[in-house]
Amino acid sequence: MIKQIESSFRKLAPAVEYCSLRLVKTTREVIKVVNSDLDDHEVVEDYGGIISVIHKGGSGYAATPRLDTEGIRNAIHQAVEWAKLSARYSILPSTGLVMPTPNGSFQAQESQPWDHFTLSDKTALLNDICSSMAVDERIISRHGGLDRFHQSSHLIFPDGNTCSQEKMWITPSLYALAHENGETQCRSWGGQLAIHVQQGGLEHLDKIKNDIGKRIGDEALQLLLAPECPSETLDLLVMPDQMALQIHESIGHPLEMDRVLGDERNMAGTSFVTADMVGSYRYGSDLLNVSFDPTLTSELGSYGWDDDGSKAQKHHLIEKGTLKRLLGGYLSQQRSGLPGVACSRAESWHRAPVDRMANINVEPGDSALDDMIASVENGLLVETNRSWSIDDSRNKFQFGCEWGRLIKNGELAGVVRNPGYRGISESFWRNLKAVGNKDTFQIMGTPYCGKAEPGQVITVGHASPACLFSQVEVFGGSHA
Amino acid sequence: MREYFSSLCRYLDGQISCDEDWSAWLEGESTDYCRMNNALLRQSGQVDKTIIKLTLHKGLKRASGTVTLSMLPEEDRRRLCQMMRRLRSNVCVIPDDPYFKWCSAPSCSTSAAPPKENKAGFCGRKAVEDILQIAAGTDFVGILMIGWVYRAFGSSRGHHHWFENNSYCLDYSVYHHDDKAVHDQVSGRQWDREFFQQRLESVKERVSLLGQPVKDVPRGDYRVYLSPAAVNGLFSRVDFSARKYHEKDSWLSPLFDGKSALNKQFSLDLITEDGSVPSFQQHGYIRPDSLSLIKEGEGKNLITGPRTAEKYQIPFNGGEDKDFLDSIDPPDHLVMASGDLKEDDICRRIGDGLYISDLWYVNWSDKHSGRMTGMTRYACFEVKNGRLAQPIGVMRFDDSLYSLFGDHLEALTCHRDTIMDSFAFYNRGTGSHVLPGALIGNMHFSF
Repeated sequence: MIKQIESSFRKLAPAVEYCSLRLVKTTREVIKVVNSDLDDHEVVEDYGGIISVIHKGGSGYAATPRLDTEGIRNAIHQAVEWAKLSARYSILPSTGLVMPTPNGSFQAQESQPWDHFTLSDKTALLNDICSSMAVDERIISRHGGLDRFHQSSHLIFPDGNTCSQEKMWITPSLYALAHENGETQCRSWGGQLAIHVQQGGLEHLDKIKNDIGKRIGDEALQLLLAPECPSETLDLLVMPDQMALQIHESIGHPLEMDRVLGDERNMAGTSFVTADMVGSYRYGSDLLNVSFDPTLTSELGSYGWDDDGSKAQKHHLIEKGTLKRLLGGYLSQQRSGLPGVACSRAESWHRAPVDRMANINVEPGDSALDDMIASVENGLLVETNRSWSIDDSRNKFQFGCEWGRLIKNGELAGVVRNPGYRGISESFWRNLKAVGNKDTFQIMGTPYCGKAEPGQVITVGHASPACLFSQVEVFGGSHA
Repeated sequence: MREYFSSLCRYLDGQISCDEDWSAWLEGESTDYCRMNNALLRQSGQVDKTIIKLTLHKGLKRASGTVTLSMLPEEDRRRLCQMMRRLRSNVCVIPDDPYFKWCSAPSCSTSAAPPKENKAGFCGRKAVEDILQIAAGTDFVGILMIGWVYRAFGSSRGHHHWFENNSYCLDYSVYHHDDKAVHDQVSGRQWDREFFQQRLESVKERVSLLGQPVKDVPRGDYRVYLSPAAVNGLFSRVDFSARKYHEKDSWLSPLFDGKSALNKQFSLDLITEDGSVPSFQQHGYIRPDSLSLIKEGEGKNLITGPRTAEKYQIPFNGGEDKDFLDSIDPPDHLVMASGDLKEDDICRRIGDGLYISDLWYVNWSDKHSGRMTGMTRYACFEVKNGRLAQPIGVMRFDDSLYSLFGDHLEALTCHRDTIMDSFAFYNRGTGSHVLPGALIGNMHFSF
């Protein structure tokens, strides 16, 4: 089938500076259990292709599910017509664009394929976990879900080259609701953004097979009985599953070059970061080291090439607190004149690529978790995001978490509910006063990063140690 | 497209045995998407995509699967046949679902664009040239979406529902400098160059006000006017889900438990009768023409899907059973009652306070108490002595909907804006809200 499509495309390819066909096939299976009932089960098969054309500075695309000769011919015609129009009004440079046309393949590692368990096995696993959440009659609702993606893509060029990639991941979702006297508390594994997601297969579910259900139930109950988080300014110890969100919103998004270039100003927003900051801007304290690394095995945002064909490579974005590089794919690099990374990515065949995060990681430091806690006189430890909000320049943020524990005189103290904190990206990272060592380092991610016009939802990876910040404004919840 | 769907329905009829039923939900689009920045084209092209979600029913069991249509009859029949085989295999191992209900009584409906509109409206390349010529010289950024959207439902019981819409939506901003801009949206059945030209002139007048020095307003409590777009921002995270309410996980518990009320001026309906959204839902049920959610400050109805209705033994009222992140049953066409506040009187009624043109990135601070946070965005101004004074820097609000739309709601505007869903995540939506602006006596800003 692929060979036939490749052949048709190459025969029909127009005489333009650049033309590609990107085929994407996605299969997906969703299983959801509520309490002891199978709440939802669905399988998805999606297949289509997008023709991209660049010529004399103009660009155009046409996304079609019709992959016979006539369908490809029509899509090429549409993409060429859009490119002709675009050439008269294009934001791209009119000359000098030399898009990569690689040949090769990338295969994500999956040691235990999805089909090794039957549907009954997977449902039984979720049922077992949900059952073990029922630690008390005040646990009123128990939820478990698995969402499995398998995506194969082929970026085909007229010159005979094809770049093939295959990725797969399973997103587990587990949470319990505890309720008493008008108060409801939710405790989950990884929050709404499903932060415990990695590329690979069933081997990653080993993490949820043990006592995870009971822990979720116990902690939901503890939150129900806990006092509100106080409102004050203190030291904040952010655990890796909340660090993933912190990195995502206040480092990843502000560094996207298409924001800096203004493309996102009508939707996702702009950035407080400007092009002239690269190389000199003090983003964080000396302890802050951040990398872009799509080459890591098993992290969610890994790939061999981006969707424009640029080869994936590791780059340092922030070194010892200084901004070194932005997240911009080939076209953004040509527009800005700045070095970037291979990060031009699209959700699937029906969307054109834009600048995205891949794996954006905070490198581990040398502080043990116990030492960080011991260093805090008055502080708060937070885990697991439950609410996220940040301004359109990615500066003023407010994040809510599920789980909080006070730190008093160097020791962990009581649990608090509804913990939240506020800050400003520009100053927050400069108050980074300790970075956890490798023992605190965890690989996470989310399949739900939304951006662009038209909207696209994409996978990103974030790995981080626990990090300690000084002088952060924290707060709790309140009732109407 | 409609005839193609019918032909696939006829094919599916031949793929089941006598103890089985099938139902199918179709979502499709043929859209030109044109993304602009600096009044130039950044990305432009065409997307054709149609999916069918097929459900196989067998007694108390059901299995669902979604396929993308290739629009090649033989290939699509093969895909549906293959999916049907897979669903039949899944049905054997799936337990009974005691809560699943679908509308087994046949019904039909059609909502189609008048033939006259069909060709004139769908002309993305012409429209985008108009836009870029008219906007030349401004810092214009945004997206044009123009073309067809389809929804349909069919089944082995004889359902045949069809909805199609040929329309455009131009969602754009004109920037003055940094993050200071005026945001606007124009939409309709047919692209209208003159209408956009007039609208952009009005936007440019407002952009000129943003040249004044920006004032950073300190945290605190302020009298504010929220434009219809800002009210829409508040609704961006709000659901009216009966399921969430019965799971004790809803912001509406205080209202529907009778422990809190909203202001008497606040009434909100979910409307389908104007034809802007499908009149049928994904399990084949006809949706009511209108559903009162909140009436004069009191909770009236929660949106209830068939499964939720069965599970909690409450009346079904046309909702879906969708579940994505923390939001389920997102209302697709909310219409909020207007008030008597005239456009010309807004600043005088604010007196000293803030004019908020948009709220952005809204999320819960404490969902169960209705407390939200979010940011001001675009053209927001300080108001002094009943006049716009100067633009303000972005501010974060943190306040309860029970306060903002409760005791502190002073007035609603007589004018309402129709605000289209312009995000197009996964596919192009059909939703829109009709909302007034709101004068709020006190709104808390945390920084």
